[in-house]
Order: sequence, then C-alpha cells, then structure tokens
Amino acid sequence: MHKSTRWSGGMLVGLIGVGLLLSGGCRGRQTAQVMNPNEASMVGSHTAGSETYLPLVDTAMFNLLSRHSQGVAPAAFQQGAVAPMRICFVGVENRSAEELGDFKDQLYQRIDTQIIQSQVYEPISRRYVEAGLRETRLRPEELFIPQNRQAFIDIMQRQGQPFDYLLYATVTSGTTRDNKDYQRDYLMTLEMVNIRTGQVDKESATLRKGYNRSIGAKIKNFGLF
Amino acid sequence: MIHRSYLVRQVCPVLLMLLVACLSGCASHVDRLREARERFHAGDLAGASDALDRQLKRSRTDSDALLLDKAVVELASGRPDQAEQTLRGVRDRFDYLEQTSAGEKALSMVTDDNREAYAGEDYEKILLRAFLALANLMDDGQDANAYALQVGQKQEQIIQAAADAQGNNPKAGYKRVALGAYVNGILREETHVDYDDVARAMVRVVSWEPEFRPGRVDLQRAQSGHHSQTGHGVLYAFTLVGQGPYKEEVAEEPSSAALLVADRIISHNGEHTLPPTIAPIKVPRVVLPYNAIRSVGVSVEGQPAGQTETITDVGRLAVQQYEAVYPEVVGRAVARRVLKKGIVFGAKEATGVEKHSLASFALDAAGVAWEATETADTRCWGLLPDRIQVLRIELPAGQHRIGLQPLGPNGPIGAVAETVVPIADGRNTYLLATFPHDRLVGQILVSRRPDGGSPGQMR
Repeated sequence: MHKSTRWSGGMLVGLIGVGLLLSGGCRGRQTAQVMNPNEASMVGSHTAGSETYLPLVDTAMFNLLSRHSQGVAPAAFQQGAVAPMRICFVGVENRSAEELGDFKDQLYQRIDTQIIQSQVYEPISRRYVEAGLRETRLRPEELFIPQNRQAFIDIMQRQGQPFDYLLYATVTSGTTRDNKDYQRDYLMTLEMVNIRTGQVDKESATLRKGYNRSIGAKIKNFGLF
Repeated sequence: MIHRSYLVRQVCPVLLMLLVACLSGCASHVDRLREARERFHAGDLAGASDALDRQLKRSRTDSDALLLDKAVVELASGRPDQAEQTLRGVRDRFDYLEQTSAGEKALSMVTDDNREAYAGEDYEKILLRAFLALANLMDDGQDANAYALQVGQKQEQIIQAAADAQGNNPKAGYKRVALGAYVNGILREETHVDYDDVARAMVRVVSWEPEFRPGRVDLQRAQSGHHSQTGHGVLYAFTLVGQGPYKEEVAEEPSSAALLVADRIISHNGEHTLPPTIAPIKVPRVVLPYNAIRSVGVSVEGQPAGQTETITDVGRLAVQQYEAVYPEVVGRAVARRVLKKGIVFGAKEATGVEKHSLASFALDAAGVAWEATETADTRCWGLLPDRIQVLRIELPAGQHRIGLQPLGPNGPIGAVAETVVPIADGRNTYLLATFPHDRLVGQILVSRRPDGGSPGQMR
C-alpha cells in the first residue's frame, strides 16, 4: 500500500470527524439582565411591543390629563373643582391587526395607574367594574345604550362605587405595504363618556413603525441583522 | 519482533469490533414504556407511576419523555399541581435542548439518534403547554392564560424557525393546536369585559379546528352575546379521550435496498469492499392505536346534556407533523450509514488491508455489526390521549351532579362516572376526566371554586 493512499485514508476519517464537529454548535444557557430604566426597549421585529404601546399610552394619557387639569373638561361636568372626577375605566379594546397577547392587562394597569397618579381623576377598581358587568350581564359596548348604562350605574352605586365618566381605550392599526416591507400606524384612543349628558370626549396618540424584509430597507434603516 | 503492518492489520479490526460492542444500542423507549402504558390504560395509576419511576432511575436519555408520561399519571390521579410542576421542568429543558450540541450530534452519527438528548417532537412541545394550561385550570387557574398564550407562541416559533433562506418551509402546513386559543377565549369571556379578545380567540379556534362545531356558537356569542344568563354559570367539561400516538421502530426498506445496491457497486468496482447493508435502516414511525371510544356523553342530574367534541385531534396532529419531518429522519439515518461505511473504508485505507483479505472481511463484519446495533429513536410522550375534547354547558348557580359516560360509534360503551360540581353565577367551572377506552381512569378533576374551595370528588 502506498504511503500517500494511507495518508488520504486517514485524512478522510479526520475530515469526517471535523465535519461532524462543525455541523452543530454548542448549547448555551439562556441569559437575562435587568435593564436600566434609561436603556432603550427592544424593538419588536414582527409585531408591536413595549416600544410601541407604552409611549402610546403615555402620550394619550398625558394629552387627556393636561387638557382636564387645565379645566378644559366637558362643559357638563361641574364637580371637578370640588373632588376628583370618578372614572369607570371599562377596558382596553384591541381592534388592531395584531394580538395584544400579554400586553392587554399591562396596558390596562398602566392607564389605571396614570389615572390614580393624575389626581385629576379617581378610578374605580377593576374588580368592581367586572363585578358590575357580570351582575348586569352587559357587554362594554352595550353601556352606550341609555337604559343599559343606567342599569350599570345603579349596580355600581349599590356597590358604593358611583362614577362620573366611563373611559374606554381602543387600539387600532393601519397597514401600508411597499412590496416586501410595510409600515404600520398604531393608534391609541381614549374615549370618555359623561354619564349624565352622554357627551363624548376623545384623546389619541399615534406611533408609526416600519417593518423591513427587503435588504434595501434594512440597509436604509441600519438594521442589517 | 512483530512487524508493524501485521500488528495494524490484525489488531485494528479487533479494536473496531470492541468499539462497536461498546457503542451498541439497547432496548428502545417503546419497550421501556410498555408496562407503564398497559397499567395506565388498565386504570392502575399506582402501578403506572411505579413503572415510570423504575425506568426513570435506570435511564437518563429518555427521562424527559418519561416525565411527560409521569405528568399525565399525576394529572389523572388528581394532582394537577404536581403535574404542572413536572411539565414546567420538561418545558424548560426542552427549550434548552432545542439547541444543537456538536458533541452529541457527532456521537449520534456513529451510534444512533438515541445518543442525542431528547428535545421533544414539535407536537409534544406544543401540547406540553396545552397540558400546562389544563393542569393549571384544574388548580388555581392563575397561570392558565399565560400557558394558553404560550401554546400559540410556541407553534409560531416552531414554524418560523423552519423557514430557509429560499423561503421553503416544510412546517408551514402544520396543523395548529386550537386548545390554547380556546382556553384563552374562555378565560377572557369570564371577565365579562374582554369580548374582543374572546372573538379573536374563537376566530382562530374556528379556523384551526373547523370540525369543532361548538366553535361557531362560541364565536357568535363572543361577537354579540353574553357569557351566560343572569343567575347562571358555565361548566367546561374537558376530556382526554382514547389512546394517543406513540413511536415504534420500523425498517425503512426502500432506503435500505437502495443503499445495499450502492454499496455492492462500490465494493465491486472500488479498491476496498464496503460493509454490506444487511441490517435494515431503522427509523421511528408514529403509530395510532385503534380507539373504540369516540367521545364522552355528559349528563346533568341524570339528564343528557350533550357530548364532548374534539378541540384538538392529538393523533392526527402527531401523524401530520411527523410526516413533515420524516424525510429528514430518514435522511439522517441514511447519512449515518454512509458515514459508518466511510469510516470502515477509511480504516482499510489507513491500515492498508488487502481487498478480499481476512482482515478486510473482519472489518466488513465489524461494520455490519456496527450498523446492526442501531436502534430507532422511539422516545415520545406515550400517554397522550388520542383527542382532547370539551363540552360547554350553561347551568344555574349551585351544586350539580354531573355524569360522564364513554361513547362509541353506536352509543355508550362503558359505565357512568359521576361527580358533584359547584357552579357560581357568571363564572366558569372546569372539569377534566381521562377516558383511554371504555372507562374512567383516575379521578374526575374539578377546578377550585372562586372562593378557594377544594375540588369536587368522583363518586
């Protein structure tokens, strides 16, 4: 047997071994870190996340609070100077193209907390709101019908939770496509209904987000990987 | 003095044979699971648990698969908290093991797939989260919605990860598990506020499981109805019906025959012979046992109230998802054979044995023996049901006597099992029962009452 043939045989076995080792990686443990409050949030690559929803809530709430703290409340409302307006926050309705998933309850809590902290409003606990809706078997949108609304107000009063306004939050989206890429505009709307007059007040915030799949768009936005 | 080449030629084959003996396979998972399966299906939960514990002490490579079975036994035994804990541990390990390990991959290529840590089949990873949701519903229900959302997230992740750069995705057509969306929907409906979430969830249920007829009623109710009428609550009776899929070892005949022809051609024309493909290439196949049971009839105070319907067809899901990855399983088995033959060929080249010599024959024999030691990777979640079914019943608030009876194609096939269920105004109550064939196995589990009361017991 020639030496070169033996060498090539050994090399064949060696190459197979190296190939096998290169064919896989190594398992690594998942790690995590506590993010600094000033650190930028991660940006959802496929759907909206905290980078979208939290600024939407903050902006919409800020707009609403600034207006009402300056006394530009709906004309029918008179007791504001004496005591904070009692708000019954019914919930967040998702009408966007994306799932809110575990964000929905967080949005509710964030809005609810900002209502408390504003000192302009005083919220009613969500547990009372749910109990009231369960008791009356009314859907949130059915509260727009006067007799339904009255039935709900009566129940809440019986629970010792009278209120002045109903507050609804709605998340909507609009999508614009550009071949492989698309832009999605997210809109958070806060709708306040004066239960005495039925008058509606509205504030909203919008945030636009681009989703890039084409190489050109990735280069343009410096997000190659 | 012994000549070096003589030593190499005579000793190497012996060493190779010893190596083969060391790396030889052993009894497959399906053999180890048999006793636990038989005992579980016979209703002997203590025996099934003991059998699983014994196997867990012996085996390390299939411990996660065995723990999945253990969780099913714990759930049926009325210990949803333990089942949840077991499932959560396996879920986290599967997530870790999804990453490839070069060492294990290399070892599996010279032995068989059993040498690689088991990270679960795709359908098992998804159903694991569905079972977590069910187990938690039967306990305090605090995390059930999170688990239900994870079902959807995991299936999306699995499908997206399978796409290649060209946009091909063998998993794109995977059947989706509707149970996660369903649990999410019914939990949201109980808030009496988030009907938009309920509608979204039920749209997915209807689209992913179109044969689940109540899904359309649920969707309609979510869009314009109410949870229940005043003074009523809702009972969701979940049942785990039939004996589910498991894996068996089968010979992949076409690939074995093709490889035999190929190695004979090379042996005839090449400088060295290759070990002939005498031992067939063994691969796992998902098997579905025949199930006489079709659903479970539910009665309230002795009066028929309906029968459970399939929200997730586990058997069909397993077969369909496994078919999508089957070419890859066969491809890996064929590649392993080619590699083994290549190593024997390389050894002949390196040691300089003559074609048709005794040493060459010995190396071929060792190669054949090496190939014959392969065992198909039959590790699987062996105590899955064939179908997960559910029935929604609206009932007046109060205590109700609920009866469950297994139904075959032509009517009842077993005795009625009963339990007392508390129903609260405007609330959901959940019930879970296991019917692998014609009788209840273990207990009927009832979720904790909203006031924190203990679950009801089977009578």
